[in-house]
Amino acid sequence: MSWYKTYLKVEVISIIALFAAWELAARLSIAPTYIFPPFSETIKALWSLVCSGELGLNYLATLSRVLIGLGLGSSLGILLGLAIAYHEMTYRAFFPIVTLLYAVPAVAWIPLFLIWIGLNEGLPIAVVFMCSFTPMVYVTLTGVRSLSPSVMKVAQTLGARGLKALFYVLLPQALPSILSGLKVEAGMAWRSCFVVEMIAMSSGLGLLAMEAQSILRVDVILAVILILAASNYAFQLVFEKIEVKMLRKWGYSR
Amino acid sequence: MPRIEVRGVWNYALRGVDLQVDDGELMVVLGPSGSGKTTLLNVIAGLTSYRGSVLFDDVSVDKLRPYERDIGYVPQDLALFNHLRVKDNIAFGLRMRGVDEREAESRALRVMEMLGIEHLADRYPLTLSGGEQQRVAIARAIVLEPKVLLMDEPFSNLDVGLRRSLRMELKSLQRKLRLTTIFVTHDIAEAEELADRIAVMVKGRIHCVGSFDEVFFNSSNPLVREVLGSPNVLECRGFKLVHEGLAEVECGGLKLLAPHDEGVITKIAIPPEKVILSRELNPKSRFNSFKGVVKEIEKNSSLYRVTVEVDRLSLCSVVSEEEFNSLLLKRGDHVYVKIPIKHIKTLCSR
Repeated sequence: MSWYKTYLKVEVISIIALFAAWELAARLSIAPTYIFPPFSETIKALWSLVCSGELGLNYLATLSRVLIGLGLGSSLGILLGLAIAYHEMTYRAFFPIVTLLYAVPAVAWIPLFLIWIGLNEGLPIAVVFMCSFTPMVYVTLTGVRSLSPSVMKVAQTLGARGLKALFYVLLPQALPSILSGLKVEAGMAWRSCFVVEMIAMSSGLGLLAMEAQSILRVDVILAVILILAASNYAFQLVFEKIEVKMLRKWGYSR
Repeated sequence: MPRIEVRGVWNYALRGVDLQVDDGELMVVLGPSGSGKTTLLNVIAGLTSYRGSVLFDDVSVDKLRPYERDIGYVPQDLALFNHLRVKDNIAFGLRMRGVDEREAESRALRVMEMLGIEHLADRYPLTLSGGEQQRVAIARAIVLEPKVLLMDEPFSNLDVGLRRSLRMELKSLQRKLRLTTIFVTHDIAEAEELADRIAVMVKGRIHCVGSFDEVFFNSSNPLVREVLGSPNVLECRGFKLVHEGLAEVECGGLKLLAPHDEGVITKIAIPPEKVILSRELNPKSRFNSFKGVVKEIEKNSSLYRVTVEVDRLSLCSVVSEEEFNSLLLKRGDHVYVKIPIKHIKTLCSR
């Protein structure tokens, strides 16, 4: 499809333009280089982080926390959302609670978890978990509830009950909303993990940024931000690809 | 296929419904929206709570769950499973009941062939046209060989031409399988074309059951007449065949030309929105035109209901606001009433 190709090109050009503008602005000496380093200096700093192995280790730490927290949080969230949505009574009982929890930002749990969990690996995972769990419960719930009630009725007359109805009818029918939720929450997972690492962890991208701040290495801070942004974007892209592929296969028009 | 009986059913939408549907019969439940038609289907399917009793072949099914009742259900929005291919949609019920995989496939294929959709087997529902989706929904409902097929305005989202051809297909399929069917609609034409008998439902009650003609020409219940579009029904005498397919009848003192098939015309009916009013007599088509006096004018949203007296006979006409304003009618005015032949329905005796 040619429009897709053009679209991709425009995307690439706009990013290149951004970096070029950054480089130019820094070279025009608006501020000293140590306060506002050009793009090329940032890439140099990034490269030395890669070579020293510092980036690799810390990146792996962050990535594993995000994957574990997001994986556990979203799968349990989807399951609980389905269970709550299944019956009118459980829906009515739990929906207000879910809505209340949904309103709490993930980082608000940090002070509490610092006391309950302490300064260990469990902390960032728990925060990432909370940041994907409650939204996924919410998204799944509303996704299932937005299905036509006759879908469940027909399923019942055809003999799908209980778990069968849940997994063969409700879950796949709610998948489009679940996937678009996941896309957003994957980004949130990176952000909250970064915050926890800045405050309380001895490894991870957040720590790298904080360490660089303490020795006034703006180029390193910017390099870490670039990595964070790219990872975040890559995650969203993966979920979007899955979403688009599935929806197109099923014939949803986008 | 069994006889279905609904006895004294009450719930949040139904007010004591009794209905009997004979073995192999196609019963159309006709009523305005909000009359409880869908709820009645849900009661028979066991999908909602009720007091009273539902019997299949004189055996109560009240304690049975939906899947134990052996019903096929086609809801208004079809509720196809968008994530499954057509063949898997159709085989879904068989698989849920643990039918052997090869048998499930061959049974699904047989039903697809019956409905002429075998070429769509690998497509997903959202990629199908409206008519194709209908056939898939029907196939999914009948593949389990249900005792009764329940259809809830399944054709309401389709264009007129497609509706007609699907109705004919449904009717012949229903005949072939001798499938006891309850079909819910608010469309009079649909009821007339499909029904062995119709049941008119208003405000949670069934007010009248019978063949379409019986109910259409004979019911005096104002609620039922309103559902049927409040047609002008005229008693006829003095039947005379004018030409092949055309007869002259005398209805309440008026000599009318009416379409004729066979037998003697005893009643004619004309929907009020087809009765044409004019100030002048159209010299090019004088037949079935009569001079009358405006007796009553009623405004109902953007429509006017004009009652005209012609020779002691009252005829109702419904005209749009625009038409009404161009006629400048008021009570006591003289006006010409024309009854177009093509819109006359006739009731004949042999």
